Amino acid sequence: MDLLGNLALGFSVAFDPYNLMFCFFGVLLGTLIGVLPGIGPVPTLAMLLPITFYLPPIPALIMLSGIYYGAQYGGSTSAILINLPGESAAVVTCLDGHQMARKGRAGAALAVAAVGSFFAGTVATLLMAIASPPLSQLALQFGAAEYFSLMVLGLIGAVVLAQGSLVKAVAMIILGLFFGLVGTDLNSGQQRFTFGLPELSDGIGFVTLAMGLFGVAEIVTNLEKREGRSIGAIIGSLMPNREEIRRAIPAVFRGTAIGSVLGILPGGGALLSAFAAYTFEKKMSKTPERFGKGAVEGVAAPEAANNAGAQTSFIPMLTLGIPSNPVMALMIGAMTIQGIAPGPRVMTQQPDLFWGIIASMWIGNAMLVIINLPLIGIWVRLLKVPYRLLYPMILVLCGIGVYSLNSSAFEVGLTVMFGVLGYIFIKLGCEPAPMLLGFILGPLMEENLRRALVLSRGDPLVFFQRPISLTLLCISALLLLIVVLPNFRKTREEAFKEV
Amino acid sequence: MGRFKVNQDLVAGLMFIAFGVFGLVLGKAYPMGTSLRMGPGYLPTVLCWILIALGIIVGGKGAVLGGLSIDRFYFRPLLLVCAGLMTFALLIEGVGLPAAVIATVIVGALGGQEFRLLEVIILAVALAIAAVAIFVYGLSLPMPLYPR
Repeated sequence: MDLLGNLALGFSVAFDPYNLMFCFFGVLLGTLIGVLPGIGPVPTLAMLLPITFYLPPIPALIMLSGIYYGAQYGGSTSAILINLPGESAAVVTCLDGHQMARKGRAGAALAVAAVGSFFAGTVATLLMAIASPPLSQLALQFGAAEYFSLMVLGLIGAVVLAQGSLVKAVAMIILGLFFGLVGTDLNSGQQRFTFGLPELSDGIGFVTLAMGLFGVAEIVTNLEKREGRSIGAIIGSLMPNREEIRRAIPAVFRGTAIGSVLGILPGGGALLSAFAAYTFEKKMSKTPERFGKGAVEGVAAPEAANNAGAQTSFIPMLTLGIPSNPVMALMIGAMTIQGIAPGPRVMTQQPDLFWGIIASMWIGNAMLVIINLPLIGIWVRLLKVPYRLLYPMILVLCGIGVYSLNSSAFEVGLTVMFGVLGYIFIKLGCEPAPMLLGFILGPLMEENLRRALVLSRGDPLVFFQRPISLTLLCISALLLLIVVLPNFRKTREEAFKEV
Repeated sequence: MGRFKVNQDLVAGLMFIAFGVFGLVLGKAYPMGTSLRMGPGYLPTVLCWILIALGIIVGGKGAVLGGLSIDRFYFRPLLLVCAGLMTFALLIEGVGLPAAVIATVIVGALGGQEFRLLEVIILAVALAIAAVAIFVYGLSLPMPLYPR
């Protein structure tokens, strides 16, 4: 009965007209950036973070969440219509979605994607409501040692499930941890790596870092390519035919299940979920040869999965205060800006915030179906806006966003530096996402490590003596072990090589 | 032995090593402390050594086994996009938001593959007006409007 009470509280918060308005604004913006290739949720969230400072916490967080799952809806539109992923998680949707469009089934593909996403969103919302209370109950028993071990697990999970070279991903995490150390040491007051600059004594702002790595560097990468977009496809009827419905429904179920599970894992989220769901769908299909040629399952499963994954990745963030992907890292940042300490206490101390966010997701999903289906024409027109008009806008927003954080022009300059660094990382095949996670978790890890060691009088065995901490470390070790196994490596490479 | 080629892994490894060495040199002065009472230098030193070790693994693998070649660097968009944002940083406090936005857009737009002067000017002015309307009047962010 508690569940219903909680959800009722959540819906009463989410249906507040003011919150409803920001929810709508968030999903609308999410759809917009999802549709537009070249700008994803990470830079958008980073740009909007400073502005949310001027909003109350609940509408601010509702809006920011809406951007992430809204982008999952929008991303499929450009994937299907112009074969460009509007959002990175929609990469797999291009494969079959665009083929469907070329066969004149664009409308059906869009409808399957949107309705599948809505179903997945509903399930994910319920799952969040059910899974969160026990998880945060568990987390309330965590001490410093457990938190440290949990963060180790989170970081290792992020590496295992990330794309590309494992060693490089680990090195990027360490680099992120290292950048997280810049600033004044809390325990001793010592200035570390500040070059004597007073601007750095509070550390590097994560908006600054995220905006450079994901915003500036991405603009430059996008400018490398010649622009050639054509919307050849005619949308046609939105109604899928009977055969398509028959194939799509079970695929949506499977995609939802895969996405819900993978979203919760550290390192998980929309992208991984979509890839895994597509691979799984193709593997278990009796007619795998249809994939890549416009199989409706190839749209339904990953689209359901990416939306489910986007939403369930909020679970560890809201209950444990541990971000599983860069978007969640920014959500943690948003909470911190609002003066909320992320962690298991959020649920008990601010139930209206916690349940309001969860309930708003279901409302947001319902809005998204309407925004994306009947209004599809508007988004198609928007796709015609060329990137050369778009990126100066992003650049200006970057500047205003970073500057307004602390009214510091120095930080805008720092963003430029991270932009250059981010571009070099891309060229060297180093993923910036693990770095951002390391950066966010770094200071927290150091604090908990020190605290745990002080409590244990300097005995490092404390991490192995406490049962929860030991379990977490064992899972981490197991994950690392699995990764080294050649079999797993192959599967992992395959899962990401589909495109 | 094939011909030795510079590749992503080799350079990435060198980069990690460079960061590690850089951190060790800079962090030399920070007190280490003991594991019971860790000094501010404890964790940085550990991290830097791990970074160096990983750099050797990545770079060594690249040097011995080879790796993907490094894509071309496109300096024009990189320089001009960065210059655009730098322009914003340098101008915002001196000349105010609208002028800084206009300058940023123009410099940044030079980094694109096509530059249409009229279009860029219209975009710049429109963005300047929108920025002032949304951020200064709408959200009342503290930003200078006029040159000081």
